[in-house]
Amino acid sequence: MENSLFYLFSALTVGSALAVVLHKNTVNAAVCLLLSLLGVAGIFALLDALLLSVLLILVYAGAVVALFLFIVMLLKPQTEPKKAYKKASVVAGTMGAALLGLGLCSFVTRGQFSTAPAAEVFHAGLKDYGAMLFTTYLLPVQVVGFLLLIAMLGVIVLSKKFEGQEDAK
Amino acid sequence: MTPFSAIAFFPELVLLAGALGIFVVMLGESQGKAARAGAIFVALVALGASIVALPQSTVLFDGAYRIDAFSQWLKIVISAGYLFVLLLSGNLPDIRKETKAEYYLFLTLSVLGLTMLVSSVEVLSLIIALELSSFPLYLMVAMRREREGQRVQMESAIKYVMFGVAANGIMFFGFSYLFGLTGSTHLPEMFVKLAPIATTPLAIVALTMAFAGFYYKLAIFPFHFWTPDVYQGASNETAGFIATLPKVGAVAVLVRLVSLATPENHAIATLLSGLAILSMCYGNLIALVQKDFKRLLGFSGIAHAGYAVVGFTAMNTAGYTAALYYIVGYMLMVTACFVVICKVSKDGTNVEIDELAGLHRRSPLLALTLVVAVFGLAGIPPFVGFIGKFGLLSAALAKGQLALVIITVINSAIAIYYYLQVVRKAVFGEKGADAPAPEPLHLDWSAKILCVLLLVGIVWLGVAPAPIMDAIAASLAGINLPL
Repeated sequence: MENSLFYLFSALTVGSALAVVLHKNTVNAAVCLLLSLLGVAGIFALLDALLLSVLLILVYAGAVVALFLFIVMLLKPQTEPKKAYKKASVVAGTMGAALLGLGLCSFVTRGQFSTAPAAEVFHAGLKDYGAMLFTTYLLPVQVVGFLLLIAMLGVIVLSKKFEGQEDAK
Repeated sequence: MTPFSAIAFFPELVLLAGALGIFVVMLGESQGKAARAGAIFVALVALGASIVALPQSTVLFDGAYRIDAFSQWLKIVISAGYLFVLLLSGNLPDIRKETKAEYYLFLTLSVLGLTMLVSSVEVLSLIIALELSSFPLYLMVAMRREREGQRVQMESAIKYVMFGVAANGIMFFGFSYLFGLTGSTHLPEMFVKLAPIATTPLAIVALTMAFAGFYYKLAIFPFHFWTPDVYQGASNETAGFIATLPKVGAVAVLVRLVSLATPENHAIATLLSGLAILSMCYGNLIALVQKDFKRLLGFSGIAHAGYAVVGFTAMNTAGYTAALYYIVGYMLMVTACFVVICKVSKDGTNVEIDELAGLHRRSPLLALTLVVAVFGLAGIPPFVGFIGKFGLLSAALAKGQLALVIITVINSAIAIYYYLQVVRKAVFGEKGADAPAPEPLHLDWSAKILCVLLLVGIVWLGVAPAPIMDAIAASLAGINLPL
């Protein structure tokens, strides 16, 4: 049961991720991204990381993709006519794919997945999560506050129109 | 759990408080001057605090944050670099006067990110610190004043952000593999668990990808594309900052990460040599034809990043010591070049190499600074560039990397051509005897102090390297062992 669910979610994730890249219409691509994220959330749920899966749906599916759609619709995308790929990008793409294939083969034949000790099973309940945020991860949590401050100030500085902007003194 | 030691965390606390102070100053209107004075004060206190905190050695935040000799001397370097950039910045002619105070706030926060970066030994803290040091830079590039028909700063900023995001994405992916392999996000723990499997393909791919974010900061070959455009598009002061301190931080973290691989890891060593060679050749050959001084420094920066990576290929303490020593020297030399750019530049515009003509008559001190810095970059004794390169080459040679050493030497020879071109323009490039005497350049007190400090630093590090190199080597011992 769990196995078949895993395959279902994986297929959903990978399939819709492919659709994101291949779809011509940007709105459809964004919706496919949503589906892909739902698949990932499903895999998290199977791994007992319920908090993470809920957060993923709330933050990414709820906020980030909605923001994407908002921007996409503001920009009024036009579907471009299909362009032939350049020769250089075909060569580069083939080389990249070959490298990836080689890497995957070497993982399968020479990889030693089992020698590494499995990560401690950590049932990420809300309580443990909160406790970690205030001990090990206290510093990053505080610093993220500064990152948000920078982001806010940056938006103001970059978007505000100043009087006499063009004066060359 | 060790008790929280405020004195060990002192430099960060000073910078945090300083950033908040500048934030308060910023709330008034057009407080550029006050913000600069405040920032200089913060830098001086931070420098003092780093010196006070130098002998500290402890771990904070459940082992996520490590205060040791290595991180503490780097914090002194970073605070000093922060002070240099502030002295260099003058009155920021190319930033709008309404946003000058914000500029100093971003600068301070970026420096804070770097000081946290060198102490972080836990992947999440490391990533957040890296982001804290990068975000303000993206904004500082875009903050250059708009001129008629010039939006080049926006293009540079977008390039910088896009490459940064892509490189960071690859790095996060690599870290996720490392976590999967070792089941830990603490670097010292990772080091122990990774040692038996460090030569398996998965571990090598994971490490390689994890390096990407720092290659980007350092402008190593496949992640260098942003460098010349950002140098050209950002205001002179911003470029001076981007060219120096983040690279010191990147080398420091690379030391921690590369030492995760076992000493005899041929795949990683080969990869690093390849990247070093590509960076050197690419940077030096394209720098030969540059006309804009900042673009020239950008391409030569790629080449110098390549030299620094030569030290990493040795994968031992001697190599890391040389790389760190070199990057600190590089910071001094490039800051010196940017003092000249900022002062020669008219109203904050970019400086062509031709504009340096007759500099020795306009301002002898500035000309001396330029000549010393450029000779240093070219690797001519007795300046720090020479002894740094010597350390790198001897570390690589001790590991039998003869081909790499020969290519590095050839590249240094190529580089001498365009460096001497700069000197020739500055000292002999006058328009003719009957041309009117060039107007003298006025240097304010901060620029004079900065020139003298940099000159002393470049010569001192070049003449008496032994005590500092020994101290660096000592601080590297047990960098990945639990305290």
